[in-house]
Amino acid sequence: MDPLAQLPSELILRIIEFTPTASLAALTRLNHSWNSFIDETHQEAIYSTPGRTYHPLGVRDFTSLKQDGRSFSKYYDNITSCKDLCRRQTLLSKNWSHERPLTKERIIRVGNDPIWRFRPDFQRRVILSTSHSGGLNVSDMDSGRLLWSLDRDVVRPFAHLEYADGIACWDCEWEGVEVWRIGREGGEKVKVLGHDVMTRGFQLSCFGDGEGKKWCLCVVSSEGCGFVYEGLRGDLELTRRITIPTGAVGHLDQDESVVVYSMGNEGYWFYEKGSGENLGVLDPEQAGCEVFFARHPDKRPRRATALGMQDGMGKSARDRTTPLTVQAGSFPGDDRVSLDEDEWGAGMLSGNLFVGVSRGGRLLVCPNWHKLCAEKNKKKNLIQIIDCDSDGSSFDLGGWLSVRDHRVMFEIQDLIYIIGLTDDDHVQASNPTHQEDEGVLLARPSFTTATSIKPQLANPVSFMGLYEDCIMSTYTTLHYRWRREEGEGGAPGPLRALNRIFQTKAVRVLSLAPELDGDEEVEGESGDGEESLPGVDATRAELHSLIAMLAEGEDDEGEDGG
Amino acid sequence: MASEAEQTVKLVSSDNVEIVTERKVAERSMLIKNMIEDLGAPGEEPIPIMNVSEAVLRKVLEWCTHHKNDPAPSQDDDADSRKKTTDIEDWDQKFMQVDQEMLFEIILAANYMDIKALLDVGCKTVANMIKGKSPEEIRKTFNIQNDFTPEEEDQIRRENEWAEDR
Repeated sequence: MDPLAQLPSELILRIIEFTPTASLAALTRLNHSWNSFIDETHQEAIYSTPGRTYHPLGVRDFTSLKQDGRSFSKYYDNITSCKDLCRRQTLLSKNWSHERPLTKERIIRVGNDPIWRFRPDFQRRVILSTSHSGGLNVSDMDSGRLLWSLDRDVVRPFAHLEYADGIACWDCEWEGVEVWRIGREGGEKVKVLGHDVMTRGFQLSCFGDGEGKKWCLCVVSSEGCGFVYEGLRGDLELTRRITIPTGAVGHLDQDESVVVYSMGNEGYWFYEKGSGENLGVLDPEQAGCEVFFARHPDKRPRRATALGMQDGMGKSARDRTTPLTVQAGSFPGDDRVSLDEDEWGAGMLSGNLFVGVSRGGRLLVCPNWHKLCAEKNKKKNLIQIIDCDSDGSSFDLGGWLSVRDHRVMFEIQDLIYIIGLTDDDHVQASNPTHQEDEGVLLARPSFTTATSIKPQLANPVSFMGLYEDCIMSTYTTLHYRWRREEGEGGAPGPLRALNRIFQTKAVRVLSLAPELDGDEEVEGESGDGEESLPGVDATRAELHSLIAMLAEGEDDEGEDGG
Repeated sequence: MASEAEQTVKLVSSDNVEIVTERKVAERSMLIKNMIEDLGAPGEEPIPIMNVSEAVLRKVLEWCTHHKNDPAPSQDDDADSRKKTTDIEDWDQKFMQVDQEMLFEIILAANYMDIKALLDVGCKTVANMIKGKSPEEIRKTFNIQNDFTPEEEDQIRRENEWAEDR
């Protein structure tokens, strides 16, 4: 019996709500009545339900999606319907969940100086960055062109940068944080927040929206205190001073009501921002953990051989990532730093999930830190740990971390690891032979990607982030300085490579946005004065010989993308 | 007066059959619960269930009897069941092993009598008959005639390829 003939529309719609999107594709093909029911009469109702598409229910105006600015590739531009949105989100999430996602790559260099911290703003289409030699640069995200900058007198070398929705903070001297309002055209200083102790670290977030949008800056000092500054429109005022143990290592994170400080050996300490009350301590040593391990992959992902030009997006490829296997049990061998001697660095909150990284190469995953705090560490197995092949080299900066949409990103040796979790944020051993059981939550695939053009040149990543449609990180590359020759009659002539190659750090964008056919992306348009460079082959040859020299004769895997 | 637990109510099906049942069982139906509250004096007035035949009403009451001690649905439950999980508990799965005509009748009755949990079980059962199947398999399941030309179907397939599992 055809349900469509037996049941009223409202009940058919209810049944459809319980079917996966893949079944919708089958139902539209049954016959004319089913096709018009799903694709014409009730299309908006069907595709706008939560679970089918994720955007505020009832939103019909797709420009709001575009404006919420979450995507590097402008993936949500020109959406025509809820079905179209569902299609784009389905394709993107399929690519993220692929064993080997299809990626495009872009290297954005900012000036000649190595980038230290950077932050993307997908709405204003800018990338803010600080550098090894000082200054703040604001570059156009699409063209890579420098829009404006503050010089090294204003922003010190190796300045830590925090940014949230138009407000940027960096540390000026040891005892203060500068707050600036930042736009595409320029910036203005809002204030300098001074406190009487040495700043060890700070984190800026923005909560709420519209007129009620509130910025919150949490500052931590290793001398036993934390500060909470809050305010509308970036006008931050001190609202709470929190007493904590001495020895905070500088990493901290916050959500709307809680701030968590990394205490190195002592784990992570959670505090309520409003009252300053200690909510609990996450100390893996005390808590009892479920243990996993991941070996550093032999096969290395393809690396960009960036020549220092502002390249457009490269061609799509699947080899910019390599699959990473997570296995149950402790790391074979006994040369590991023991858990009680390990030192915890960066940690991050994402809803109920808390993740952290250690010097010993451990990733800590606590799927529900609220529960852990409530149980006072007494209940076992609220923490999962993945032991990785760390040589500690990438931890000198305290380790960077990013967490988003049930994935965690961190650095091990010369690679970035992206660990996929289950829908309820648990680690799970990857087991390629498992049967897909009904009701068992499967972890998203894990993979790795490069942090430099050659493993031997790997430099600790000084900022990385997971975003809606891309992975961003600092990227060590070699740069060849270019000079424009004067042509005939003073016209600009061809670019010539100056005889100087140097190592620098750029921003690497690994885009996972799939190609939407019929929604053509015009390549080269963002190239901004890109031209074919004379003598580029000679330059490449030179670069390769330099790389080979730096690589000390290490076996080349034939991975020059060119 | 009898305590609420022992009270009975008299229901009348669309084909005019009187069924006496526990008030607690009947009140799984928000329609009946509201009627009892409006009428006062439960047990005396027979309550007409206009759109539901005796056979279906007995089946629905069987479900209500099994679930009479379930916690009352709250706002939270509503949000929860909106998650697209199609898990059905074992007893309900067995209960739903009926022919398609009865299945649709139960869904219609649950909708009319306002028994949300039963309605969801019914809808999930149908959804599970669709899930993971090709169009041809779905047509076979529900005896649906394909009135597309191969060209038309192929075009629709291509337009919706993005949604397919692989």
